[in-house]
Amino acid sequence: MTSTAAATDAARPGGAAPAGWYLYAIFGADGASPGWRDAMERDVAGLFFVESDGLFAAVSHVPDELAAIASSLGGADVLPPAELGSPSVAVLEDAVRAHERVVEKIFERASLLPLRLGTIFRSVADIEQMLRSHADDLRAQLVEVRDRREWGLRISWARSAAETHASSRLGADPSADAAQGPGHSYLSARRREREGASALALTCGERARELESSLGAVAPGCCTSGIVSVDERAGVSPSLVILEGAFLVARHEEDRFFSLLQCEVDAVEGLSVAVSGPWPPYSFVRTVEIS
Amino acid sequence: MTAEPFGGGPFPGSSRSVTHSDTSNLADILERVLDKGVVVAGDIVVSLVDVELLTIRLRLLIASVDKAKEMGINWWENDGWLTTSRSNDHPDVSAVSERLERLEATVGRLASALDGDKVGR
Repeated sequence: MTSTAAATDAARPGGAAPAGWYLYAIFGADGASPGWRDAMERDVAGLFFVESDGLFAAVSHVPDELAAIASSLGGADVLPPAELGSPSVAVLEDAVRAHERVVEKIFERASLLPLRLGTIFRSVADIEQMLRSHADDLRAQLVEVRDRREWGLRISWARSAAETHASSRLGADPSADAAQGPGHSYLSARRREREGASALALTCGERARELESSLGAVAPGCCTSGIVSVDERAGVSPSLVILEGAFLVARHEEDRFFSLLQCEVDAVEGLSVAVSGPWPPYSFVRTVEIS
Repeated sequence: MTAEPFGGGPFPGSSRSVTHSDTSNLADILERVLDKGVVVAGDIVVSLVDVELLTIRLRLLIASVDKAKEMGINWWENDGWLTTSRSNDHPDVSAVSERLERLEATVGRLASALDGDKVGR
């Protein structure tokens, strides 16, 4: 361990025993900007670093927000019913936002592997052991995400436009034959509905896979495609969410990625996309298994 | 790597068809911080929030489904553990669809026969 910001297992100020070390992210010195240590310590109060051979874990004492959640759990797995906006749920929101803020601040200075909420190590030695024993895997992951940012995409297709495209898959509508009896006509209409739904699903799936493939040529993606969900906000024509996920885009490729996205969306009537980000690469990291 | 403000561009240009939001949306944050990122699993890790992710999700679900959906949180609608909806690719669904088609074809033939009988009278 090195530096004034090295974590130690000494008691916290006020004599309180350390309750463990909360882990935010792992990064490598070679993927960090010059002067990163001073900048991170300035940007995030209470941030410490545990090092092992050039790999760093950014840690802090357990945040008060999470301590509050733990006390509110009181040994139960599930909180009693409560409205969103109640103190217990608000505390969870605070903890989540605080975690993300710290990760993003570190991300400004270094390519990193972001940790999921709630990872705590008992001691500095345990953190060092983890960094040492998984150094190869951690370094490989850091190479994969270096100088890349995650962007969330949610691509929707107006239902009417999607159905127009899907109708080309369907043959003549037998239920339109006036010569049919009422029974046959009803059954034909029911069959037509099922065929229409199937054609719509196939069309949306194809469109989503084309988009994923096109964008994937620029950046690796992690997506769910097909008809993912239906957006039926009041007063707005229903639209089908056909692709939802994330892409890990190299910084120098972001212009090209978004230009391509705009072209793809403009090329098809009724398509729209909601983009979120940039994010640390949450969707593109792997589990570290401690044996 | 050079230091840049985290929100540094390029942002996708906003247009009628492309909208952009930053990283402040709670639903987006929850999806990542609770469900993604590195998971360190093993004996030397103590999870202070000593519950599985599903339990945390259940807590949000119990709170208020309508309020959650207002916020854009609706993961349970696509979660295999919490929904009975199945894709049309599921074997059970395919088998039922095929049987339904055969039954409807049979009924259709019977209906045609009845319609023919009525015309002939």
